[in-house]
Amino acid sequence: MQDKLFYTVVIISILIAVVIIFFVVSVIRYHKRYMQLQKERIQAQIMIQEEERKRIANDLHDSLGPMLSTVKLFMNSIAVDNDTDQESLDKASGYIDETINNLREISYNLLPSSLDRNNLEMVVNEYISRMGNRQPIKITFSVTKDTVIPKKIEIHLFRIIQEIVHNTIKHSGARNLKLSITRHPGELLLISEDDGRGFEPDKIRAASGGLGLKSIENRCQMLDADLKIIAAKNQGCKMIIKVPVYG
Amino acid sequence: MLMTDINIVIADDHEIFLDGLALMLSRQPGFKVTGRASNGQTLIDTVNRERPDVVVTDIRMPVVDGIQSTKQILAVHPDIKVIALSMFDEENLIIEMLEAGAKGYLLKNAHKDEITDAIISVYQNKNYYCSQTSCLLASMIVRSKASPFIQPQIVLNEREKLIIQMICQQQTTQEIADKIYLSKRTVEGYRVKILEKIQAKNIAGVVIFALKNNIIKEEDVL
Repeated sequence: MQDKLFYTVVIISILIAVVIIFFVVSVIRYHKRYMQLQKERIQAQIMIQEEERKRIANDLHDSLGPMLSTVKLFMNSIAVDNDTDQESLDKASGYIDETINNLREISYNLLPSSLDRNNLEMVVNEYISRMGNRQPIKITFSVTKDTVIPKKIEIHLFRIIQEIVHNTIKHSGARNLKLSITRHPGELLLISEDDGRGFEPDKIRAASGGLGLKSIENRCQMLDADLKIIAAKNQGCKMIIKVPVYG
Repeated sequence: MLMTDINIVIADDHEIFLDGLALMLSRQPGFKVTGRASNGQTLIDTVNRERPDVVVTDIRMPVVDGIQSTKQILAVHPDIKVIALSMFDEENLIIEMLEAGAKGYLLKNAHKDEITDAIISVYQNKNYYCSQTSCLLASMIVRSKASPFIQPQIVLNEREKLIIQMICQQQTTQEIADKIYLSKRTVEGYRVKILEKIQAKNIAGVVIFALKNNIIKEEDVL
């Protein structure tokens, strides 16, 4: 009698344990899948956004630009012998130049120097020389010689650099920012170092803001890159991003 | 005035741009547009048939691009002078064109006087750098295989070098005058003399010359 009761308790316990284990495993699997989906969703969003930006930037560059230049050429071909008319023509032609400059600015903001046409090193150099002109911060950027950066990841590295520069200028109060890309077997290292007031990464993450940091993390996730932030109050900030490179 | 007309072949895949350029050039005395092409292959064929003095061509074109067609044209007709036309933000392509043998480049929205200036310059076997050349592009040109030949006979004095440095830092004539205690007129005189001495058409030429001859360093202008 007692044996029977004992076995019943054991069997029921096992059953309950199985159910609990099954439940826990399902939750973990569900969570994993959810995370995976989340990652894919972020990746898709980023891709769509970049594609769209690229399309608009290319349209501005390839269609509107030449069109405006054409208008200018035709205006330049008009022969006038009246000074006032000539002045009007010159003015209009100046406005076209201004429009083209605006177009260039818009296209640059969408997709810098169109990474399609130029390589990352150049685009970053141009970007920091633009930023440096307006900000009291000295930014340096170096890429070790003969480093080949796969075209596919250039845009993500650029956006990460853009975000780092933007954050450093906005929050750190740093006077110097050093950025570098170095090549190592199977990986690229992107390192940034500033002498600003530093921050506590966890606090930034917990706070409502931290969008900049989030976007760096998202990009790193896309690249399967490892992101390490070494920062503390009043001790500047160092970021080390290890990007695996295949083939 | 030139004795004979300069024969020009133009190429661009935007038909209307080609129309505009042809019209503008045909209105300039001394210029004759003898052929036009809408891609690199027709450009090569047209050049072989017309043997022009100068080719003005877009860089990004279908079938064969401007870089390839420039190489092929110059391999057969080394005397033909090529000018590249580009939109903004195409520094790399400009460098490739210069390395392929183009003597000059222009932004597509350049003023007609600059376009004619460029054509005459290359026709006279001089390099032409667009007046809107950025410092970044200037330093890329100096570092590239198309880096211009240094003319050793150009001798500059210290004051001229100093003024060149200031010009490269994009200081205005007035700013330069204030800094070195000269009148604006004198500085203007120096500017003209410097351009003449180094045979530059504009500031872009000065920056490239100064970088090439170590009068300024890259970090001074970038």
